[in-house]
Amino acid sequence: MTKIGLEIHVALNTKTKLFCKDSTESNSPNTSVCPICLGYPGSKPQLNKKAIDLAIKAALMLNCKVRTKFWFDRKIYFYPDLAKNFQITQHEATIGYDGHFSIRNKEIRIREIHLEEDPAKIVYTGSIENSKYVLLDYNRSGVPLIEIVTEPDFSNSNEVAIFLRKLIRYLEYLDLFNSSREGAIRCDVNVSIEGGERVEVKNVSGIENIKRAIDYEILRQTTLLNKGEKIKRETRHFDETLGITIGLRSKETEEDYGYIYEPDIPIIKINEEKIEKLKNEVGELPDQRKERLVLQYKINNELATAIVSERDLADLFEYCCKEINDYQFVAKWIGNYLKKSLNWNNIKFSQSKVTKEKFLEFLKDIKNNKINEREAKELIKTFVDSGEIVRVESSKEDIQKVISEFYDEISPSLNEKGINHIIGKILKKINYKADPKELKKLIEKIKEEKSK
Amino acid sequence: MKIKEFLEKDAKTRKEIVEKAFEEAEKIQEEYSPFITLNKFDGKIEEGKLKGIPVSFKDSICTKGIRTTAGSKILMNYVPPFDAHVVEKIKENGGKILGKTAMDEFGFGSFCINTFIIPKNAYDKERVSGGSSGGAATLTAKMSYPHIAIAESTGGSITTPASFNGVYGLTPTYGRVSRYGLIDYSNSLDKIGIMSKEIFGIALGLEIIAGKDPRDMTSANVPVASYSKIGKPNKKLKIGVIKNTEKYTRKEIFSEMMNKLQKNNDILEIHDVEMNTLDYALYSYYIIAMAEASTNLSKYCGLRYGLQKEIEGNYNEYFSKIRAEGFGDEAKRRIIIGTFVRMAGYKDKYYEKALKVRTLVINEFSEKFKDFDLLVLPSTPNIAPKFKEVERIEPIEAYKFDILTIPPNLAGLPHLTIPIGKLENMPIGMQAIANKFEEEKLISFGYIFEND
Ligand SMILES: [Zn+2]
Repeated sequence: MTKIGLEIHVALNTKTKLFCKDSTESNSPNTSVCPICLGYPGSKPQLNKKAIDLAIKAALMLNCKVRTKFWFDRKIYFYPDLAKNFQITQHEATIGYDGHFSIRNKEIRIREIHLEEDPAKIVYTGSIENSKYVLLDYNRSGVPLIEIVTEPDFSNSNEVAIFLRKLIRYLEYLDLFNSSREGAIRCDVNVSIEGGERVEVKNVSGIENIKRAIDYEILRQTTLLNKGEKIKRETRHFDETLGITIGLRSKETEEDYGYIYEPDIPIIKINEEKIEKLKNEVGELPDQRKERLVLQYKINNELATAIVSERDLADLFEYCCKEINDYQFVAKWIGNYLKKSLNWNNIKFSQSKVTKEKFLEFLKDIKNNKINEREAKELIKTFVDSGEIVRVESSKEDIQKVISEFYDEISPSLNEKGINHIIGKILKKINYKADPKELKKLIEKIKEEKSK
Repeated sequence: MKIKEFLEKDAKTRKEIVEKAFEEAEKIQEEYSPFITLNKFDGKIEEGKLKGIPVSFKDSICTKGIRTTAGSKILMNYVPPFDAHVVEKIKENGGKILGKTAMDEFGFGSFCINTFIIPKNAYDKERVSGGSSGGAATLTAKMSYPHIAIAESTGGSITTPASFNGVYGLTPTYGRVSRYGLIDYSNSLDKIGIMSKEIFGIALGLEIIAGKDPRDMTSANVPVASYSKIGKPNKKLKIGVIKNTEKYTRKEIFSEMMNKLQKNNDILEIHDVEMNTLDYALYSYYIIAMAEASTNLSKYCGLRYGLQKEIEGNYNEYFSKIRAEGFGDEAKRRIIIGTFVRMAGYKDKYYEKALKVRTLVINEFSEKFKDFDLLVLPSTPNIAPKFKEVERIEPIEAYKFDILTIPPNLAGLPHLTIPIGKLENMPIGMQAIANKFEEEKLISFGYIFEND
């Protein structure tokens, strides 16, 4: 039997770093740095309270128990990416513990979740094994991370991928993680198969690579066992280019870290009211909300999934449904057209300039035929971008000019279908900026004239 | 010249005095070497509470643009990019940076000999100045012009040298003064304090540097009193003399202390007390201090700042070479012991146990302060030893020299050393310990013995 456990590192979506005031966003290397995140002598950590709130929310999301009293520890090891050669993390009293998160019909137990600082980013100039030197980017040094540790409850890489996708979806829904900013999720993966010791593959980045690393490890370990060889307990590295894992020479075991309490950060106490408040802020989770939307508004699963991809989008949907009782119509416009438009611009609804009120007006205008659907589909693109409906009606002259181009096609024998066909072509030419009913009148007028 | 007298002079006169004070410091340096780095007077006299008084800083306190070595070769050419909180405060109040005073490397020592510039005792050049803030004490004793020394104590680094050189030395409550910009020895024990020839200098200095600073999370949000306006006590103080320190102290010192107290029995109600935890405090202290120190020193690895060399070999080989060359013997000893006591398998036996002992010491002190205003004991077991005597001393014997200064330091309680006379022409002192944040009582108590 194969057992897989994960240690998942997720960068929390905060504006500033965990122990200093530097921004978590930066354009060029080593620009968002200060004495604290560079580990200068005399600097002291200054805890970002927002990160604590977000970490507690993540713990609640994972059905963890939340500690009302916790602290930080120093994990000491020498590595070039660690500014102080120790990492401020949580070893003993983690923020959350004893949780679970389910995928399909399986429940994955969460051992614990804790908050820690990210080390600097190492840029290898070759492979990890033969780099002559490395480059360090301290912009990442001190970014708040949560580490989620699961029990070894996965049996294959597929389950892991499903779990991670759901995890990311949930974290994004709660605004705890921003995948467009942080990029891939990072994992340490523990793989053991029956009859062998546990092997840890460190720091694998992105779901695809995590899957590949697990599949490779299972294959490697099975092959070894079949050959009658032993699988020793070790730490390995995943080479993305080759798609294989490589044993690392240095092995750090738990005992070597020499943890002590972090003396610069007093014990943190969280009261029950605070936890209740955060619980309320977490509220209904995406899958629950999706199920409710399907039942309550009788919309299909696909649209509901798109609508709950972002909390603000789901809020928008329910807001509009209060005023427009054609739920299918609202769902189509939000779950399909608006969502596509947001994806096209690579932004979230919350990042767009569109307000709930304006969007509702927009939908009402479509519903009341003030804007025809085809034009609306064009308008929504700029709406997402600018926050305004920029509607330019074509002038009478322009319309006349375009119609005249189709003059020959409008024969006296033209039927309804033929007229609509021409209307469609005209609309396309003028970017749908005309009322089709008006066009029809104009075309029929020409038809009449011709038949005289 | 007294500080108060200086403060009453006009700006022009003050400027002349400050110029002379800087000249005097240079002469003292030639004979006694109290400085690692001497500063130059910029000729500007500002207002504020200090109006130009020259202030020296222990070299573990970061000064922007002025070399800060913490007495270590590994930081020999290190120039901090920021000022420590206390430096900012002194500057804001018109204090002039006189220079950076000599200290045992990172504060590791009781005699100020574990470093590259070794100050001499102000009363006898054959004798040590005391550690670790030795330079500050020698300088304070030798300066005839107004001067305040900002020093630091982890386990007795203010009391011991101040007492050896016959000056006042205040170690405030842990958290009373922000440690932001103090190069860490042991974060849960480090306290920035003051030395002066006058109680008024101590009071004025504390008034300026005390208070909450968000950059040090352990700094306390307790109101700062107008210490400089305090005088002798206006009611009788209940004093507990810690009787079981007598067995560690030279007879003449203990009896002189009792004499001084008895002479003032009109204002002091004197009792004997026993401290049960006294004998264990020393061991608890050294374990905690070394454990924390060994982690603090890991940041010195020849990257970003401090001693650097041609990069050869891998990271481990590189930083090992830097650390082998940059750290002195005592620093290496403390790294080794400090690492040992926090390793798995030993951590429970040493580090965790030491923390429990610290709690017991704190509890016993709290009990005592239910009955007493102040607890009094000798400052040091003996007068300042000669250089040739300490050369032969084993490290464990040197550590034991701190037996009297460690209890209040371990408990984070404020304490003041007061010069009480001479023995063999060398200064001797007594220390008073107050409850948390009761520095006022210490200052009042100090005034009783000034000019006594
Ligand atoms: Zn920073």
